[in-house]
Amino acid sequence: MNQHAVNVYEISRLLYDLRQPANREACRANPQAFYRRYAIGEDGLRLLAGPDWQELVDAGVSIYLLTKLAATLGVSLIEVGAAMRGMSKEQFERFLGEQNRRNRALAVLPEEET
Amino acid sequence: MTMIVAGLGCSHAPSIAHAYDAGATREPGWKPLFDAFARARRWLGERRPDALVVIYNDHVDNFFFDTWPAFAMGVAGEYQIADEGWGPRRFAPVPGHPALARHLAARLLESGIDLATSRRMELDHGFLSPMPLIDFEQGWRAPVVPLTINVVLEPLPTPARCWALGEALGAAVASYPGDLRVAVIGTGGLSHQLAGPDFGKVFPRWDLEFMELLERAPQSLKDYTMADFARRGGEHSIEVVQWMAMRAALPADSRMELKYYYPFGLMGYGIAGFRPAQAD
Repeated sequence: MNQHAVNVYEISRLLYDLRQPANREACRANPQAFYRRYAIGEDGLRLLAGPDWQELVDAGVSIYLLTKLAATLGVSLIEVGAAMRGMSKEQFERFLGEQNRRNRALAVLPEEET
Repeated sequence: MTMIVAGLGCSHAPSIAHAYDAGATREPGWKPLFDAFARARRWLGERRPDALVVIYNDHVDNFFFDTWPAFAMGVAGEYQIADEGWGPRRFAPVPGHPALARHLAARLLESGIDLATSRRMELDHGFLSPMPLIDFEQGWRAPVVPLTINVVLEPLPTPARCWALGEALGAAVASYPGDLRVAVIGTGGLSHQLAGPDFGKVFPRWDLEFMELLERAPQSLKDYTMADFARRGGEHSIEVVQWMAMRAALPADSRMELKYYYPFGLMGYGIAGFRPAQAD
């Protein structure tokens, strides 16, 4: 993990703790106060305040932990992905729809179940 | 004689769990995938397994960065459902097979695979997104032995080492006393990329090539690095090492009897079923 700029371990600990409903509630009620329980520094606070999803990944935070923050804040993975691509949600959904159509010919599927 | 009667590779993803829990399995986008899982479920049922070894990866729901084992086997009597941030899914705890698990762990250690064991493992979507689709009928059908591979906290085990784990697992299963019928499941992949400007890109040609290699030349996959897999199928597709370990556990002459592939949304979803030639 990249440790030089941001305290990735501590941010990861914070996100890992969101597995507990009480922490999710605290985070939703007052995100800044919840984040300040952890020694994540001003840089960590800034990244989480966005949240700046791509910068968090670039700093070394696992997407599997970021999904816990997204779940807590009610942000979908499609919205996270759109932000990382620099797209609106609608643009990203259009991309996925086009990709589905383009790739459909390569599907290997059983006969339909009734 | 205890033997492996089936091997199954299949994708895992939160999306599968969310579609299932939202009752969306018959919606046009999702139906092809759930139909394929229904086939896999019937196929696995016909193989009549008494126990399942499920090779998957945890997504920072059970393990954390204080200590992350390269390989870890659950040796508990039952396994709780993890809360990944959306609340735990409404499934009963999954029954374990501690006698088989302890035997497998001991044999694996004797054969040079230094795996960790765990008496308390919470199962996340790596296990729980596909398993209700292939082994659930009112309740869990067969007891399980969970076996995790680290694909999260670098440095990671090499694909060749994951193959070696699978080979040793196959020998360990065969040495279990009695007449148990064991199925080995490997979950993960196929292609997906969950960061950066290519977020959501699917790589269907590589996915199909991977399944072809797994069928016809599985040992050739040992020459790949994790970086190779990431380049071909996206960063998060390295989970295919779990399919490799499954395939390595089976006799070389196993035949692929089931093959489905569905590139949809953020993922290339795959299912492959193998039957050992000697298994009735």
